[in-house]
Amino acid sequence: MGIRFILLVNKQGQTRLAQYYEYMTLEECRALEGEIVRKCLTRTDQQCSFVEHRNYKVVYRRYASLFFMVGVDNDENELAILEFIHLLVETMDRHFGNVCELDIMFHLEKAHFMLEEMVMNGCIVETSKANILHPIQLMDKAS
Amino acid sequence: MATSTATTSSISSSLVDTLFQRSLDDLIRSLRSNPSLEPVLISRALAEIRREIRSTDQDTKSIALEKLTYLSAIHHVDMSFASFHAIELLPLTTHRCKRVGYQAASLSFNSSTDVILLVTNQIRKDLGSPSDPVVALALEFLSVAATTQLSMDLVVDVHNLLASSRFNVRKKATATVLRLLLECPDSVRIVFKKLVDNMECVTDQRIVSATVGVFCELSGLDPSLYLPLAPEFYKILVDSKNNWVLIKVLKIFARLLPLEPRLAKKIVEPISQHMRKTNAKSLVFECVRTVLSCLDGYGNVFNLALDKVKEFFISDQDSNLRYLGLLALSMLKPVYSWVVEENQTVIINSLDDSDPNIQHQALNLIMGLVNESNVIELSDVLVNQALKSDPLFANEILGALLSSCSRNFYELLVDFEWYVSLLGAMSRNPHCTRGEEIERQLVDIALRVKDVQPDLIQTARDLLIDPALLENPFLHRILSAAAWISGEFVEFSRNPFELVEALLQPRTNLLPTIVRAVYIQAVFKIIIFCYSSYLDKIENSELSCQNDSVGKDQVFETNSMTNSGCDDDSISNLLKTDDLFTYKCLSHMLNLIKAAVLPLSVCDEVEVQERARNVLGLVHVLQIPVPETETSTSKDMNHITNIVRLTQNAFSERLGPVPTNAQEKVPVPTDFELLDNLFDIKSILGEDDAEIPTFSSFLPRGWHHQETKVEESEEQPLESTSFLADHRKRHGVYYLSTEKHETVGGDEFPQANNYLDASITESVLDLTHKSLNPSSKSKTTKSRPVVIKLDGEESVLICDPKLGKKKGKDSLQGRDENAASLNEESTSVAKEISREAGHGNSVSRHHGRRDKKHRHSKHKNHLHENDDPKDGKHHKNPHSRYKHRKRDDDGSSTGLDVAQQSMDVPDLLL
Repeated sequence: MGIRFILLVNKQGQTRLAQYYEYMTLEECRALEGEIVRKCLTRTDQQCSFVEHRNYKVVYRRYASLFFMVGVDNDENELAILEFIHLLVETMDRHFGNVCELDIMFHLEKAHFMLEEMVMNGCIVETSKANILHPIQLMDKAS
Repeated sequence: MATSTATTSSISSSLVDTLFQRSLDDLIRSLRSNPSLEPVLISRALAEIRREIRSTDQDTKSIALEKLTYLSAIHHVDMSFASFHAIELLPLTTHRCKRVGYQAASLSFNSSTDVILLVTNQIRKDLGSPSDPVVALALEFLSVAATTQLSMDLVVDVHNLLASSRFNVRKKATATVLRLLLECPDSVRIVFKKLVDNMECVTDQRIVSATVGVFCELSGLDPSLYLPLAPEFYKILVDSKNNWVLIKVLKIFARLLPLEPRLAKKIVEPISQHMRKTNAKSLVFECVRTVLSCLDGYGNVFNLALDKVKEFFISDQDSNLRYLGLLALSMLKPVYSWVVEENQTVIINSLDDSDPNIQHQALNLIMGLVNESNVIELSDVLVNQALKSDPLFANEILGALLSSCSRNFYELLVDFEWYVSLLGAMSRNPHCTRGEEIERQLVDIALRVKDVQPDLIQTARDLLIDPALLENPFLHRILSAAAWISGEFVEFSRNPFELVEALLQPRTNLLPTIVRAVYIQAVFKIIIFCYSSYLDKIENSELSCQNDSVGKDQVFETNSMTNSGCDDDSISNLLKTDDLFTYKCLSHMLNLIKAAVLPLSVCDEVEVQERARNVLGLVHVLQIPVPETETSTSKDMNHITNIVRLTQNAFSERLGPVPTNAQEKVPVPTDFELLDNLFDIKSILGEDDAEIPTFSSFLPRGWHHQETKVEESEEQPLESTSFLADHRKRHGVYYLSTEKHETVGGDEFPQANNYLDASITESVLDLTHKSLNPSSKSKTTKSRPVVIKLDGEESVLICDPKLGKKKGKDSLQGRDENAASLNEESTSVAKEISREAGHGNSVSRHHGRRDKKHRHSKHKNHLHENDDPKDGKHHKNPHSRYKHRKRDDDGSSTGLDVAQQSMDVPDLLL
C-alpha cells in the first residue's frame, strides 16, 4: 500500500480531514495524529518536507494555514507524493475557488469525494483534475 | 415505513427530530463557535444523534449518521454502535443517503464488525447497478473495508467489472482488486488474466495506471510471481508518458532485477532516456534510486545517475532535494564509498543544516565513510560538530562515533592515545548523555591496550579534576571509570597527590553512592602506591649510601617503583625529577584523606561506608609517625612496611580480560590428588561440562603471587574443598553455570609477539595459534598497539559486539569490588593479605620483586614442574568456587583452580 493515510491539519494542530487506507482503532488514530502533528508542525519552512515516523515516512506540505500530510511506505517516491499533494490542493482550488480551511470544514464530504476519486487502496488512480471533479459536478447538478 | 408498529410517542419524537434536526453544518458551526466547550458540545450532539438515528425517517437517519461520521472522523468519536444503521441506509435509492451509509460503513467497519455479513448481497446488487456512482460507492467501500469473507464472496462480481466498457468503473474495479487479493490471495487465479489484459489497455491510460499500481503493490509481496510479466512492464516503461506510471514500473523493476539480472541490460537504455529527457524531479529521483541500488554495474547510466545526484546537491535552495540527494547516496552499496567521498564536503556541510533529518542522513553517510586513514580527521570534525549542535543531534553524533570506533575491537584505531583523549573530549561535551558507553570503553581500553594506560590516567586525571563535570549526572559513569583507572594505574600518574585531591574534592558529594565507593577505593589504592614508593625510596637510599643519614626528601629512585612488573622507565624518570614521595607530602595526604573520608564512615550506604572505613583503618595504621632519620629500622617502620607491602600485593596483580570459554581451556595437571569425597561432584555437576582440554600446561603469573600462596596453601587444609563440595551438593542450584568466567589477575598483559619468544610448551603454543586471530589488524599495522582480544570473543562479537565486550568490564568491576572489601573470593592473595594484615602478622617479604630475570626463570621452572606434586600444592588456594565448577575426569580437580588462577591468561588471550 503506497499511501497509508492522508491528514489535513491546521496550524493549531486540529485535524480537518483524516483518511486512512488501513484500519486503525480510534485510539491508534488519535495517537498517530498527535505524534505526527507534533513532529511536523514544529518544523520550519527551510526544513525538508519528509519526516520519518515509526516504520513509514510522512510527506507534508503547508498551504496557508493548512498542513497536508501524507503517510507513505518507506520506498515510496517522496517527490511524487509532494506532487500528489499539490494536485489535491489544485483540485480543491478549482472546485471551491481559492480553497480555505472553512471550505474543507463545511464540505468535508466533497473533499472526501475528491480523495476517493484520486486514491483507492493507497494507490493513486486518477491525476486529471477534470476527471476527479466530474462526478462531483454531476452530483451538484442533481441536487 | 414502520409507522404502524411505532408508538405514538415515537412518531411525535421522530417528527420533532425531523423538524428541528440540526444539520451537519449547524453542528460544525456550533463546534467552531465554542472551541472551549468542545467536549460538552460533542457529548450533547452524540446524545442527539443516538436519538435521531433510530428515527424511521430516512433523511433524519442519514443526517444523524452523517453527523456521527463527521464526529468520528474529526473528533475520534466511537461510532461502532451505528454499524447497523449504516447498513439500513445502503438499500435506499436516494444517492445521498446511500452515500452517507457507505461512508459511515467505510469508516467504521472492520473485520470484527459482526453486521458486515449482512452487506454482501446489497453490495453485489450495487456492483451490478447501471449507475456509475452507485457502483463506485460499492467499490470504494470494498477497497477500504473488504474482509476475507466479503472478498471471497464478491471477487467474481468485481472480476466482471474488470472488463466493463465503463472506464471509470473498470478503473475502480482494478484498484479494488488489490484489496480483495490481499484479503484472499487465492482469488488471484480468477482475476489475473483480466488484470494483465487491463495493463495492455490502449484506450484509457487510467486503467493502465491503476493496474500498474496494483502490480506494484503485489510485486512487493512476492516478486517472482510477476517475473513473467516483465515484457509488459518493459513496454510500459518505454511507451508510457505518465510519470506516475513510470515511477511505479521502475519500482516493479527494482524488485524484479535481483531475481533476473538479465533484465538490467534491457532497461538501462530506457532509464537513461527518461533521466535525460524528463523535467519531473520525481521521475529522475526514481531512476536514480533504481540505478544506484540495482544497476550499479552499468557505467554510463551509473555516472548519469551520480550527475543527477550532484545536481540535487547544487540546487541547495531546496532542502527536499538536498535530503533526497543524501538519501540516494546512502542507497549505494559499500563498494561505492568513493562516490560518497567525492561528495564529502557537501555532506560535512550538511551536518550544519537547520534540518535534523538532513543532519541525520549526513551523519549516517559520514559514519559509512570512516576508515583507518581518516578516522582521526572525521572524528575531530564530528566532535567539534557535536559541540555546536543541539543536544539531540550532539548525542547522536557521539553515539555514532563511539559505536564506529569501538567496532570489532577498535579495528579502525591505530592511535589509541588520540582516541583516549577523544573520549575525554566527548565527556566534556555539555550535552553528552553517553556516559555509560564512554565508561565502558575507557575500562575496556584500559584492559585491552596496555600501551595506552599512561595516557588513560592522564585523561582520567583531567576528568576527575574538573569540578564542573560532577554536575552532569550523565557523566557520573565516566567519572566512575576515571576513578577506577586512577587507582588501578596510579603508577603512571605524574602526581598521585593531585589525584587524591581530585577524588576527595567536596563536590564529589554530588555523585551517586556507587560511584563514590569507586572513588574511595581508588584513594585506597593510591595511598598504598604512594607509601610503597616512599618505602622503596628509603630502602634504595639505604642501599646506595649505607651509612649516610636518610633525609626525608631523598630522591626517589627509578627502579624502586617497578611494582607489578611495569617497566615503564619514562614514567619513573618523571617521578625521579619531581621527587614527590616525601614524608611531609604523605602525612599531608593522610590528613587530607582523613578529613574528607571521616564523614563518610557514617554514611547510610553500605558500600561507601565500608570502603570509607577501610581507608580510615589504613590511614590509622599508617599515621604512626614515620621516622625522620636513621630510625628506619624501628619497629613501627617495619610494621608499616609489612602492611604496605602486603596490601600492595593485593593490587599489584594487573587484571587481564578473560574469555568466556577460558575455563574449558584450563589444563588439568594429572598429578593433583583430591580428597576422595570430591568424586561425588561428578554426579552433581552432570556430564555437560565434563569436556576436558587435552593439553596440560599453563603459564604462571607473577611469581610473588605464588610465593604468597605457598605459605597460604600450606596452612590452608584441603578440608575447605570438601566443605565446599558439601555445600555445593546442598546448594548446587544457586551456583552459576560453568560458562561463567573469572577474572584472573596477571601482572602483565601478554602481547602477541611475546609468545614466540617465551619458552612455552608446545601445547600452549598450539593453543595460542588457535586463539590468534589470523586477520588481526594488530599484525598488519606495526605502530598500532596490541589490542587484546579473547579467544572465542570474536564469534560472540560478530553477532553482538556489546555482549562480548561487556564481559571485560563485568569481570573488572567484580574485581574492583572484591579488592575493595578484601574479603570476597577475589584472588587468593587479596584474601590472604587482608587476613594477615588484620592479624598484624608479618609475612615473609617478597624479595627480588624487581628482579625480572628471576621471575622469568621462575616462570620457566614452573612450566616444567607440572609433575612435581609440590608445585601443585603451591597453587592450591582457597579460591575453590571454581574448583567445583570445572573438574577433571579422574577427579583430580585441584589443579583446575590452580591453572585458573595462575594461567595469567596469556595463552587464552588474543
